[in-house]
Amino acid sequence: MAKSDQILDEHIASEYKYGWFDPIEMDTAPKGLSEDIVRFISAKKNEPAWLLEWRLKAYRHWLTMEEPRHWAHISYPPVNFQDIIYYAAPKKKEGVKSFDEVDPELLKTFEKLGISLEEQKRLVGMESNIAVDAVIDSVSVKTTFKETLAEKGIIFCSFSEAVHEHPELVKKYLGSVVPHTDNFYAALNSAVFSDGSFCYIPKGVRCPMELSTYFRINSAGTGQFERTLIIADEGSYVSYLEGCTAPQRDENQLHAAVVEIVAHKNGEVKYSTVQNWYPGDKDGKGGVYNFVTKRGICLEENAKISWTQVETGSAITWKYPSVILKGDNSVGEFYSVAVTNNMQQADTGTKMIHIGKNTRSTIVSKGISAGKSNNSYRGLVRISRGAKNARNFSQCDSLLMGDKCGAHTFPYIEIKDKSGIVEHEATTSKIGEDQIFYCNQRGIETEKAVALIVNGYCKEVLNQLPMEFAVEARKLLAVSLEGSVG
Amino acid sequence: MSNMLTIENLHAGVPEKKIIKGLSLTVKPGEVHAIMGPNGSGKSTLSSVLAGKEDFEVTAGTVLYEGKDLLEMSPEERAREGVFLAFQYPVEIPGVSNVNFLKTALNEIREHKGLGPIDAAEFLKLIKEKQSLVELQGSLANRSVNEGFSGGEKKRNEIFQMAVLEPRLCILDETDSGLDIDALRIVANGVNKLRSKDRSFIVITHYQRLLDYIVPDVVHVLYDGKIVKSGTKDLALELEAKGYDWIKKEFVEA
Amino acid sequence: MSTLSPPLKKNDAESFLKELIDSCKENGFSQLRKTGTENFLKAGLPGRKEEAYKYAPLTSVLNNLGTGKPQSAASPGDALTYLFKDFASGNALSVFLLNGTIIKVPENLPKGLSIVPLEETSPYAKNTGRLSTASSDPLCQLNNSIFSSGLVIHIAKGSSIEKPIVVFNLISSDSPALISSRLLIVAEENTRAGIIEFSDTLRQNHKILSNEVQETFVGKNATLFHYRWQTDCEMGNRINHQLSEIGEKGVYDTMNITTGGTFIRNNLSLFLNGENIEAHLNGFFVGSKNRHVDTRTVVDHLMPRCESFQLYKGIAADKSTGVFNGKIFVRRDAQKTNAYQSSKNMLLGDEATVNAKPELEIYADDVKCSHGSSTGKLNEDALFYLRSRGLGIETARTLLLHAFAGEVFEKIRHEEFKELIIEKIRHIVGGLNTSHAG
Repeated sequence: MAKSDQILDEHIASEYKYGWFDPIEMDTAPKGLSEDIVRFISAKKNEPAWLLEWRLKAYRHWLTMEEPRHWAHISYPPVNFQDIIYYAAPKKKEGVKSFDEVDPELLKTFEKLGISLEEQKRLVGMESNIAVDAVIDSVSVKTTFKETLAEKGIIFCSFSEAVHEHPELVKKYLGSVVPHTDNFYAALNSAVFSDGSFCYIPKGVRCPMELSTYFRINSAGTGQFERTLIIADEGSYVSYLEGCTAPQRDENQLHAAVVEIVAHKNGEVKYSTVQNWYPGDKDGKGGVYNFVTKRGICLEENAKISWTQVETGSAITWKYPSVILKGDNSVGEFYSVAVTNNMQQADTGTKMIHIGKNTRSTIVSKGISAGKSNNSYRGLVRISRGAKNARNFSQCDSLLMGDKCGAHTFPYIEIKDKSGIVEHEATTSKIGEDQIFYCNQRGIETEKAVALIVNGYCKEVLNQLPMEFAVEARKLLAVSLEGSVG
Repeated sequence: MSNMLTIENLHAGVPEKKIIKGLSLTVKPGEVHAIMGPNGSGKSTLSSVLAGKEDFEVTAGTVLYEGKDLLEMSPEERAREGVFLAFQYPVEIPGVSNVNFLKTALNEIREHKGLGPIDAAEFLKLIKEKQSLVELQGSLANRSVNEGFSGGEKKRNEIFQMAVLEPRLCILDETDSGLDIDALRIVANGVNKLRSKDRSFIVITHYQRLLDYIVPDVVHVLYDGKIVKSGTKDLALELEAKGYDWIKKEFVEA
Repeated sequence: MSTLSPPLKKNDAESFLKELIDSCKENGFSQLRKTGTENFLKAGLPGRKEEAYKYAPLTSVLNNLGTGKPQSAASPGDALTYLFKDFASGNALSVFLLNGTIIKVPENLPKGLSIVPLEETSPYAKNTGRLSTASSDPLCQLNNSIFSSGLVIHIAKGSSIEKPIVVFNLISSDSPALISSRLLIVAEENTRAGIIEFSDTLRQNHKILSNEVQETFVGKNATLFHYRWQTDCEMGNRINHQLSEIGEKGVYDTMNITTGGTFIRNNLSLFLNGENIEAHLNGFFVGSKNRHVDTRTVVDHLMPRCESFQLYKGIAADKSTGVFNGKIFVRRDAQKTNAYQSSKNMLLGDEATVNAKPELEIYADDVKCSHGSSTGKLNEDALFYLRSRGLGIETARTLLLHAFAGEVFEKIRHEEFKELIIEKIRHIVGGLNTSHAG
């Protein structure tokens, strides 16, 4: 044990490879939050009056709310909400007419992330193209493949653009899944959200490519509050990817996003996230506070919403992607891998709210704790009265690496219909020394063996990811756990 | 001689799908009928409908058992009247001991016949005697119903129950599936010992090999929810030799 | 003297309890009472926002209670004829308590066994409050503050008590009352003993709440079982704080069976404070009418190489509610822990509810911990199988329900009690309203 501890300590500082900071010229709001700031954001974005009203209503409600500090298994100093910049945008050059005129620093940023914003740069022979919406700090900077998608009637653009181009859709669905009263951070987001992605798949259309948003926090002291809205109309399908990174900074950065998904009759949305916000250094200094509300509703029959997440970053993760199964025969899924190392804290899971008849949900959660981190699964399965023949199966496994971390499971199971069947299983174990030894004996070094074993352990979840994303997620898992086992 | 079972123009299925589409069959006391057919032809649906499983809906037709309307009866009434289904996949019932279960079942059937509950000593004797019929270990009787039984043990347990409950119409639903040759022989021997002039059998099977041991009086071929061909035991051999494609072709062409 | 009446607000209930505390003139244990009072007043009555009482309708439980002293018309004779008299005779050491006060103890206790009233001056009472003072549950603190009676069961070092100690924990009052009593169980090193507790609120026509604290200390190498069966009448409500500390190589086996009462809360806290401990926690409830059965277990693995096993099952019929909230803590030092927890429930009523919250909080890596929870209805395939063998639908249902319960009772280490409970449960589940189930 002593030896492994020593090696553990030596190696514990795994490098965060996305930790650079780019000197992009920014257009920012003054620090702090007030009605004026809300008005400022709305004015900057040239928003219609109804949206400003909506923001103000949310802001006023937020003032009445308390920061949720007690129920989650996380601890952090109080956030000073007056010490945050609520709006930061890369300064637009006057009259940018083509992509070539976009700030080259900005392009470099995305190149470093491995994301190409130039459509022609697609890899030859790659079957599935990815349309990308890139969001830096507060605003969407570029959406690719917009025209290709438009031919099918698919709307994929920045949220701000949607407000102007498709106000009827935004008005109809904004806040319909996550109302501004939902929780403290959702209220905050509703008041100050800056940008995000908007996606609408019309009736009967199967989106021909993966839609993707890359989020990056760049400026110092800036909060990121993006808002994503995805609507799958009757019989449509879309697979949506979200990736996140942030520069290495000493202070904590706040990220409080809201994602809303609406799936109509026979509609299906698959939402995949690889979250790699800066987790702070090995002593827990810096890192992103990730307080996110993600929720989807299967509005009508046979709708399906599937969440897949690989969470490796953030100092604190507070996130429960959920599905409201309202339509009969609708399906909700949640597949999650959450890795915490060093001083990271994660409290993540899902809610499956069964309302419709014959609704089904599946939860597979794999938590991996290393270093001095704490990793908690928190989930709710509710079978409402009248949700006849609803079924849920949950599997929550935790893996501990080292004896200074914690792995916790907090499932809430509430059943009000006797025809419901709910099964929950959870296990906690350590990585098998015999497994590592077996790999060693076959010539695989311990670090690689750990990556191998962890990847195997998470296979059920990783298999849910689109291929390109799965490769990235596997690498990320290996990097996140570097040096965590001796 | 009056019929034991008369099925006429039976239509049945699940809400989304018709499975049995106009099946007729007559079984006389003492007869052994084999029903063969490819996967999905409706064999197991037929046995479930006869036993009264509520998942299946009968949309047309009649089933008379000893002159009574079988379809009007609840599953337990059918059992008490002497209809026994040996399940293809006997369910495991944790916590319910095999012996306690069987004693309860036997007493229900006895009560139906106007008999009093069986005396404990007599019951033990009966159990012992019938267990030897299928070479079932004594210890199995004390375990929970089917729990932790191997596939072969489950099937032997079904025949053992049949021996204890002494039904008049026995339906064997793919009793041979998942059995090795020794277990198959044991099960078939058990069944053969139970054959009598007033007990009838419907043996549902996919393969001919069971019929080497339990020799049928009549062989029927079930295809697409109907009996498309009937004959002697030679029909089974012919099927084995030519395969079900032969029937499919003939039926489709006809 | 005051009586609470609906609609009750949390503030009313709190001031009612404060009045109760102020009027409390009980003797002895002044330090324990003082701490209890302070802690209770600081915390207040737990509301729905408190995680531990998330699913418990406490204010409605306190509705219609009075601050008056319970006066009982019942005599121990009534109790004797009322309950399990077959069981109490002969092969058991029977102790009768009325509202926590001893009415009758066996005359010739075996060597090493002492059963005495809980008094501060008693040499056996020295551990009183050691666990309950640290409790985070305000209602446990309320008992610390105002408890009026108590019992000590003490098993001296090296003693083996062959016959089970049967405690008839009876509650009765001629007016609405909150009754606070305590039980202290001390099993010293190298002892063996068993306690079977029948908890019953005798039939009456006004509401009673018994808020009781049971502290148990199981010494090194000691083996103790403690089975509790609650059969309270419909006016009976019970909150039981069962706090136990086990020492090295100790074996503790406890079971809570609930088949009566309207609001029943079982709070079990188990501290495994030595190496190589074996702990078994089991429970079973039957919910009918409006019964609310709320079980919360905390198993705290503090030291290495301990094992804990939990199996909690329940059947919720009619409008009843079953709650299971189980937590396993594995502390940093508790390497090589084996901890298992299983909660299985069956819903029979259209308006029944089951809430389960099986939690793990693990800080050591070389451990095997798992929990499982399942909730569902009667297995329809099994039901059909039984019917196809001639069993009537009601017989088949009863058989399946009884078998479902049987898994828990199999774990009872006392044959006579096991037989008794299995037989009684057969009648109880047989009488449940299952007409719409299955």
